[in-house]
Amino acid sequence: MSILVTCKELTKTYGKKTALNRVSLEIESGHIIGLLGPNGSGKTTFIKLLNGLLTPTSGELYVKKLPVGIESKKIISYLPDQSYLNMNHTVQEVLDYFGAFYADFDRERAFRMLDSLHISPKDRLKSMSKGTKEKVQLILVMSRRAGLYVLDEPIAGVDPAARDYILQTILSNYEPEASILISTHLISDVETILDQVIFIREGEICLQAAVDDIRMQHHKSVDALFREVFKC
Amino acid sequence: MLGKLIKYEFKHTSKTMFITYAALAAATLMGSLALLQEHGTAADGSFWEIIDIVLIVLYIIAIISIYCVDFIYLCYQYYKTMYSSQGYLTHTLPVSPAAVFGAKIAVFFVWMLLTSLLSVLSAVILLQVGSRGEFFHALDDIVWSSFTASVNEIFGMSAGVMLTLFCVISLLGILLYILWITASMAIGQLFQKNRTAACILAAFCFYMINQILNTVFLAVSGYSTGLFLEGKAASFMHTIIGGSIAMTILFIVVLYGICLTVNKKKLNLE
Repeated sequence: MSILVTCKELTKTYGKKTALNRVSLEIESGHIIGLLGPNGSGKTTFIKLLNGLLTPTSGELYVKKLPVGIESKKIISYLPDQSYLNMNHTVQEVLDYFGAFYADFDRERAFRMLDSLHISPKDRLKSMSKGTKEKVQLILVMSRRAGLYVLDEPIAGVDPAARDYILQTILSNYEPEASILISTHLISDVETILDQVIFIREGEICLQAAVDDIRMQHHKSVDALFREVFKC
Repeated sequence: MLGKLIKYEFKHTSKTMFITYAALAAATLMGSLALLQEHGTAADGSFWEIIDIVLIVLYIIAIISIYCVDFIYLCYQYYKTMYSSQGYLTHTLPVSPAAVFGAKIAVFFVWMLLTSLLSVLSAVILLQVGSRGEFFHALDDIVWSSFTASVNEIFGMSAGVMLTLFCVISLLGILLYILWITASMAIGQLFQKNRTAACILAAFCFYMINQILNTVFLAVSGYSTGLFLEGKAASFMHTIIGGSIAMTILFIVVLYGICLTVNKKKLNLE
């Protein structure tokens, strides 16, 4: 297993508020990792730093030993926690755009997934329901043969049936050598697919462990441990 | 990748821009009809004359509005794709921040240049229609010679050089305004709250700095001492034009540097 992400003493502050406080961790390839924490714990900040959408206040962050930049963006396939596409575009136009810029974009895979959901490439995004738009975004992200998939709250705001579809799509489309980093606070829905978890609280990593180890050592599910650790 | 970025930037903005150009064509047609009407109905009474004047005023308002709409639309498009939700896609493309910014500025510039040229073309069409096709005939050798002589006397240069300099200043002016806005947006997005207010404040600060430096430059060049009235008008004009171009280029470089530095090292898509 190779190291995909390395961060050392990573800190991000917004004015006086510290969103991430000297976070150090490593993420290996070939895992599905849950980045778990309550709202405002620093999950999205970490993900944005990883994608170069924010600049760290201090510390170091590397993707495959490279600083965040053009090369790291070739490796990471990122699904933000909000809609980031131009709603006036058709699905076909968005596919063309992804195909033009991402060398690892697999159009066939995208069309297969669209077909399975009966989404026409001619449909305009603005004419779709919120859930369908989210599925299109997920399809775009999972159609890349990336080294690391970073999914920020991929199942928030969708109905349970759609959650199942999303999780199934994630599982059946990622590259075996790749890792998936899923940020969420809906633990019970994702627990079954995770093999590692990172607990983050108030900008600090309070646990990084394999799911099997948690079950063995704590005799609890990840969801139960999460509830215990983050009890109000 | 820069070519692809430019291609898609044009693609994503062309629909709205062509709609405004269609509106410009419609306004030109309306203005032309009004001018034709004026000649044809001179004896019909004041009602038609008022209609003609209203149409001409509407034409002028339309041309100015279209120019403003194009500029505002392109600013909005820039903000939306750089610092709003679509920025998540823009800034995670595997391309350099310089290429992203360069493509957006290049397309912005080309569209505004096209809008300017089409506005001028529209005005020329109206002048031609209004003069019953005599506008270009009126620009005969006598008028041109007179113009050349005046330019030579005032500016100490040929009309050709003067027109070339005018074009250069106009092009630099368009680029300066674009970078003025984009640099203000770049500064604005550095703030956690009140980003729009910060953007406006930054734009105001850039404007004030520009004005202060221009005033200092005019003072240094002898404007305040009346040098240009003492038979040295041509020399003074050379200094003013050269200095203005140099100052504009300096501002362009500084604003470009601000945009690039912020997008490269201080991106803040909270």
